[in-house]
Amino acid sequence: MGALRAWLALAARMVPRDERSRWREEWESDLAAAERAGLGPAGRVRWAVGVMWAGLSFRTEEMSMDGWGREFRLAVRGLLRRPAFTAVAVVTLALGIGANTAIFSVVNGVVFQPLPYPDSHELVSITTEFPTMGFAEFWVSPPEFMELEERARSFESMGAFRPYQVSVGGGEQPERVTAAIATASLFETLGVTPRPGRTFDETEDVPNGPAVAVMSHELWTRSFGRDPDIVGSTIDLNGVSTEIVGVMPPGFDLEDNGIEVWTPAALDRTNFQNRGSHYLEVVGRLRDGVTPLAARRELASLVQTWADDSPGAGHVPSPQAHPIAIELLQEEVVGDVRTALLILMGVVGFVLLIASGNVANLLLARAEDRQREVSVRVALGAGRWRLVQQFLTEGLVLSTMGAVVGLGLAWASLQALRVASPGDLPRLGEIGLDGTVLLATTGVTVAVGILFGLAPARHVLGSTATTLRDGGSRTTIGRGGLRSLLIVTETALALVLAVGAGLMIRSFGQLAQVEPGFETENRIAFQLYLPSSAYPTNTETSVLYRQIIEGLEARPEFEGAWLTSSIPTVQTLNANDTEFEGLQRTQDGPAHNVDYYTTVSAGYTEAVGIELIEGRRLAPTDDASGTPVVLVNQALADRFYGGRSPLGERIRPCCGGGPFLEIVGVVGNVKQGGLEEESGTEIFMPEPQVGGRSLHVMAKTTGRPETAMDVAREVVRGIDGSLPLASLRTMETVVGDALSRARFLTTLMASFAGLALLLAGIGTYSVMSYAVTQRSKEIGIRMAMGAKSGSVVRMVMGQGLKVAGVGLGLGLVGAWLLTDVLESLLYNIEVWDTVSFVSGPLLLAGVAVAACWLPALRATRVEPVTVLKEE
Amino acid sequence: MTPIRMTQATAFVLRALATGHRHGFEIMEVTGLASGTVYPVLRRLEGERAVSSAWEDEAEAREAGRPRRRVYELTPHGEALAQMAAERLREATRFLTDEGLAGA
Repeated sequence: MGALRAWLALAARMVPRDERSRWREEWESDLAAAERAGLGPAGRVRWAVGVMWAGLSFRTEEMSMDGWGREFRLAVRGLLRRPAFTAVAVVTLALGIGANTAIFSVVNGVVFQPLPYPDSHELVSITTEFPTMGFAEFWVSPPEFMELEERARSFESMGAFRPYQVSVGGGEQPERVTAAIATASLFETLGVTPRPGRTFDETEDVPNGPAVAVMSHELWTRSFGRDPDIVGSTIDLNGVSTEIVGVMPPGFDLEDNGIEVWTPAALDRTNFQNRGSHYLEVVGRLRDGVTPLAARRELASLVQTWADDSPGAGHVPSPQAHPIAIELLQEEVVGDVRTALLILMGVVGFVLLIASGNVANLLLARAEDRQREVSVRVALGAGRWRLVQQFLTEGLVLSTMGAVVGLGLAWASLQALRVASPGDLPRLGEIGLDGTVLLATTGVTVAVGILFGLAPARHVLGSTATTLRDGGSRTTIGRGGLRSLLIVTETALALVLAVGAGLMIRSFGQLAQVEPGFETENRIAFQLYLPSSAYPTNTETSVLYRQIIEGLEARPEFEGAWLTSSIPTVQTLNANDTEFEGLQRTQDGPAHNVDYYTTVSAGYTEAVGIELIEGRRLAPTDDASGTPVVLVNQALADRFYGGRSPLGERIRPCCGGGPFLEIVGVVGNVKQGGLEEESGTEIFMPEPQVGGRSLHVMAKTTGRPETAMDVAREVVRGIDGSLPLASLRTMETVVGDALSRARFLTTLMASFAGLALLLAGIGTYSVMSYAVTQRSKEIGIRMAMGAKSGSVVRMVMGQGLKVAGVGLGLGLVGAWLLTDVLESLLYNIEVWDTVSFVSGPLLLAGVAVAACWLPALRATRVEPVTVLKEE
Repeated sequence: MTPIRMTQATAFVLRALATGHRHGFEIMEVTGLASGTVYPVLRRLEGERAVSSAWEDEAEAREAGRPRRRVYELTPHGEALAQMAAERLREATRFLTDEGLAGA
């Protein structure tokens, strides 16, 4: 019998606590009745199993959806009854969850999602390196590409391409777009086929092959109205009538170049001589089962003997001087943005933690207000599970409300981000609130909701016994510690962000102050391409450019106009081999290679404010009939001629065996490759002597540059209506764009840090306010005993600032440990920047003082009589 | 009030209560249902206010020489449900007997 009763007791344990004793007694009574009725052993076992089943079903019913539904209704009703509390909690959470959702969408779209090619994890980017010249990720020369294709076994296929600018005619209006030369194998490597039509094949991808092209879906839509007969028709590309053989699917691009037209690379498969000309970007598809590491090893071993297999001079791949590197294409595309985005993800994670801390604080305060009610319910036999369920539901309802508002915020922020983001943020089109993002947000919401539910539940249930024993007047067991911990954590997190934002702001300040080496005020620039069909030789192009310059200068809107082959801060590195007459190449000396080749018209260097250091500038007399001359910049003079003057020395630019050019002047350095980059070595060649089919016109305006832009368009149209103007913009925009990524990151970082600061301030304020309310009796007694307002303020402030101080200390340690990750984003600022490490804590201390000061003031207004009467 | 799920077990228990069987074990005996069925039905009916329950008088139990028993009683709502249950059971019986099969 004893065993049966023990079993019964066990079954009773399954029953929710508030009903446990009743059912146990009832079952014992029924068991006695059963025994009296002469129930046999089998009947007893059946009965006992049934009782256990009943106990379990009581428990599961309690946890059933019915129970949740009731709790849900109760929770919503409860939250609606306290609109101010609910609004503050929901807005706080929405800010945290919204910021996280928005940034996670960006991270997900840019960093995590695979590239939009089939099996994109097999795609790698192949580059070369010139360690002695400081070039990593350099282009590949055509002979190297052909040799790679033939020798490397790790790849199923590989293709090469190189973007360029092209004028497209034959559509609604002439247009300047980005095109790329591509090998026929590129499309096969990427695994993308055109619709409609086809890509060009190997018989077309040959020197002097047919003029064929593939166009992007976007160009087809924009300029050709999705003409169904586009395949087989001809369009005008740089003046050459070209047959369109296919249209790529929507969104097809490579490395975010915005390529709209693909033409055959037409590499000469018999020429392995021109090794100095590195201009191809190469994409390879790894064979099934070959890892990037295995491919890297194969290339490293091939490079060992490359020279033996490719006899000939110069730039043959070799382990030390010219290795070959591979990287996953995804890494190549995402590049250094990854670090910045992951840092931002961490930053918004901190913001969410701080927001959650504040809401947890609010819920704790509210739970304490309800502690007496809860204690009574527990004493009356309310099941603990029921109470936990109630708190959990409340937490989940609150976090869900926060998430819904947060998703709205995230959506709006993403729209704003798309507009405000820098032009060089890759894969912008792939960012959105997709399934992964929603799943992540749901995960965060549920986690936060459970945390909010369980923390107060545990807190309140843990102290119900004490509350009852004390008659419910004291409700503060262990609570102070938990609240202080929240403030310490919030302050510490906010400080880390404040220091980080300080570093970013200081770095941006440094960058904005960089002397670009040229003037931007009242200057506009645009690019022209003169097709060889209409302008076959240098003479014709020179004449046309002259006409345009004169046309512009004849208008009152312009003070002058000049030609240049590239615009500062956005010039692509040339890194061309260059012959220096009389200079010996040595093992330790600099490689005979120049970073930038720039073609300019006379007066250009002066017009944009490039300083003349020595010799003379280019003059109108430096024309086709004059002595070939060149200007060099200070960096080049320093690098190749040491301390001595290079005037009168001669150099010969790369490739083609042209004449030696005499150095007639030395000018200042210009930040051609971007404000963050070192100014490279540069030569300026006179346009009349070297010509140029695609040049920029830089014009100085007399009034607002924006109004002069229309005039520039009109002048060019009047001279040759078929020429599209590309990249027409003010020079201030060009330099502004060069700062755009830094500005974007700094703005985001500073905004999130500001938000964190605000939330931490609100958190400190609410905890201190609550503490003052809790201690009002004590304060009242103190004041009745004659304590002065000053000492009350000191007491309250002291309590608050002690907690904030611990937070600041921990935050400084955190900042010291974490700001390291910012290093790659900083320009000209140490990660231990004193200004940031001092101003961050000061700012946060200010916030903490303000947050403690207001409650302290309120404390001095406590009326001793009123408080004592309440007792 | 949420409508009660009128399962066969619920109908049996209601019928047992309506015919004066007022204790858990009694209901099991008269309906032939297992304890694992009867107690959850009783608890659900009580939750839906179709049944009320109370402990019988301690003195009465002592006099009878047994532990006190839990006494169940139909509320007016429960009585209406019990009538409905009786009707259902009658229909079921009709269906399962020759009468019902002949009529089919």
